[in-house]
Amino acid sequence: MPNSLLRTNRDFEQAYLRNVDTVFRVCFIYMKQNKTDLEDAVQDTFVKLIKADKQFESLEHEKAWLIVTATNTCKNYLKSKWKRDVVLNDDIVSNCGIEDLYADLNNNTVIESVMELPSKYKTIIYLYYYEGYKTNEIARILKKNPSTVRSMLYRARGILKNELEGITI
Amino acid sequence: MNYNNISKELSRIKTPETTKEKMYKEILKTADEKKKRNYPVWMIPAAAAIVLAIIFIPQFINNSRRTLPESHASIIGVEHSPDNSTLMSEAQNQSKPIIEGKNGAYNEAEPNQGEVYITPTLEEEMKQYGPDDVLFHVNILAYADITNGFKYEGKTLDEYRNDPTLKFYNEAYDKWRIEVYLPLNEEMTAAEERGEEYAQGWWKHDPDQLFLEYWQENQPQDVIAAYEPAREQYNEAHKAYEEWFRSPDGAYALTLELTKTECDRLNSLGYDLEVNIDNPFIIMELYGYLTRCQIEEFSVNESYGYIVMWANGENVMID
Repeated sequence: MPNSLLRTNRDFEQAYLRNVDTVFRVCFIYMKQNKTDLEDAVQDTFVKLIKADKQFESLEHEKAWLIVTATNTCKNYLKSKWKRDVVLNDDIVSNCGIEDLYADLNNNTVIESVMELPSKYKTIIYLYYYEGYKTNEIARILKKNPSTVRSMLYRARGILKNELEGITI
Repeated sequence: MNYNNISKELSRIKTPETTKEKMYKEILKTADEKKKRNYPVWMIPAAAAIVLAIIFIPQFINNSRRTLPESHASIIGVEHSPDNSTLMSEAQNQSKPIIEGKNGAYNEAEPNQGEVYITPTLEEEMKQYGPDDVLFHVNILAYADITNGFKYEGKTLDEYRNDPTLKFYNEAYDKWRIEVYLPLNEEMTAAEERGEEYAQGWWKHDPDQLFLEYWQENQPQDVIAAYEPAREQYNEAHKAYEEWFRSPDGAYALTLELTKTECDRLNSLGYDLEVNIDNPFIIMELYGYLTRCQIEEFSVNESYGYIVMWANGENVMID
């Protein structure tokens, strides 16, 4: 396929529509219950895409870059004490679509368990269980050693298993 | 609530349409504003972030859920426990005592195809009994590469990936990646263990540099020309694979199907096993009652790697 270079708004629009759900999903599992930060993180990720003016080898590469960028963006948000401690007025954060989504997913134990995972495991779990990547491919995307990825996947699975079994027993 | 399929549950997180439109407009607006600025205003939040990071050093967020297991087992036999009637009736050989593990453990090794890994706590306990004296209540995890259960236009994902042109490219990429990777010093290793991100300075190459550019400069034209269509085919196959993976008939369903087939195969050989249909992961899991002999001489399917562990232990992992 031809390399995608975001020269125009049309190019960007296509990239946005291709990947917005993926980026939103990644940000959602990082931004626990913080609806404003969730939107900001998604937006920041795509702003970085525009600014990067980046060439991608494939659509898969484009998606992988956005997943990593979204992850890093969320981690930066979470590191910021100002962002963590800020209390927003309900009027400001009001967004019916997101409110409905949160309501719909309320008490979804699987999603809550994934969101409760330590940050370093979330993206790996997402890439493995949602995107269907093998551990070697995840290692490439995250620039980590494959054995490190496998090890982290085992640990994350162990935590999730305990969480989920704790409920079903 | 369905706990069984993580990918299915995650797929419920969808961007609301109104939010999608709103965010798109905001992104264009933000990007436009940033373009208009002719001074490096981005340095202000960056500097603020650094100051904040210095002032508010993040406290450790430690998960203390995992505890190292102890190795214990107990005999639930006719003469040892009056409460074992249910378990005993489920066992294949009702005259044999059943050994239950209180805590199980397994390490992070994923057995290779055709291999069986018995957890140390179970293996230790097995030594105390004869080959056919008692039944061990065990879980069996079987690891399989289910990727090849998917086919796109008659070919598996591996067949697309193993296209000689693509394989050549990927091997060159792996080599390049290792060559340019800087060895980590002590500080970097410690940071990596803490799960921190790589700073750009850790890499010899520009992190935004494409391998494709490097590769195109170093390969003959015919190799470069052959690569693009192979890559395109693989992209299409991978896209279809992703859809399959998350579909109700995808990875989870295939795993369950393979687990049932494997369970039937083993039971036909005299094992007493059942399928754990509640396993939330894409891993085949069986449980049941096996003798020491059955565990030690476990009949393997050469396509799978197995872990045999206590069925009722915590099954926590050892670092």
